[in-house]
Amino acid sequence: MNHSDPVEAEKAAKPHHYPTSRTYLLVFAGLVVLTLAEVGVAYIEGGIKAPLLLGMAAIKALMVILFFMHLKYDSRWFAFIFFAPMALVIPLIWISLIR
Amino acid sequence: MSEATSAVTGHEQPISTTGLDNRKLGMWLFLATEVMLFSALIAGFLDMRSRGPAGANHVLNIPLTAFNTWVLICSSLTVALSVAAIQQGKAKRLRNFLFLTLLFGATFLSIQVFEYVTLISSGELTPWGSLFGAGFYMVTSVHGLHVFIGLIWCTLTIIWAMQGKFSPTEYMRVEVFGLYWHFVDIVWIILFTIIYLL
Repeated sequence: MNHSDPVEAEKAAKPHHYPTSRTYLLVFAGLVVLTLAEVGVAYIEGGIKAPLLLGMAAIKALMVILFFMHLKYDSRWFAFIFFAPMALVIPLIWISLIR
Repeated sequence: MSEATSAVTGHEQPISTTGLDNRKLGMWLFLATEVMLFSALIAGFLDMRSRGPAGANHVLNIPLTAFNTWVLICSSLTVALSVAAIQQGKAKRLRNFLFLTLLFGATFLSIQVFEYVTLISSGELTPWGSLFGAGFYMVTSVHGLHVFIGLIWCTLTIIWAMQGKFSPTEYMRVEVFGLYWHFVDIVWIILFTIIYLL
């Protein structure tokens, strides 16, 4: 099969469930934009600051987990193993944050 | 390709009753324990910070650390691209991206050491001066240790790549290293927000 488009050739060359380099670059761009937005938000005052910053950090972490670590494309067992501790972790961090 | 080759991933791998690659399964289990380790450290840090004066993190250099965050995100991208490269059989590109990862990781660690030296030598923030300082150095140094271990692992992966041990059907060791490295990146994303920005 002839793939003149490099992206199509890349798709054909690798397992169908893994992202292409273009996807990685888009995720990277999203992470950089969100980091810049976080720095901007850090300098504002008000009650919205903490939820905004924590929300953006959670989105960034999820982008890395889903795309860079392939969890979106891999076995659901890996997702279960990784996210199961969150049942303990989220209440622990939440209690520490609101003290 | 051996009989043990997974129909799911296309990787040569040890026989597994789960149908999953044992090396990848082991790494995800390890990362689950790391989630709990860092969560306990972060909770401890938040508790220590809450017992000190508000705004104790104002001595920290946000622009420099934002740059360092960008450096670590770059390293995650190069690891992801190195996996993509070997999936396509591009061994030279794999080595180049791994070298870039090593460079970004070393840069991150160097900037962190520079930050420590600056803060301690000026007396603005020391591990013994306040609860916030103790918590700050506790959490960031454990993360830094993980980066350091990652750099050693990256160097080994580069050596294996130079020895031609990876191919489009056998690259699990690159992927498992990548999982570890991305996790270290995720931890920093959280630490950057909680320690520096909040």
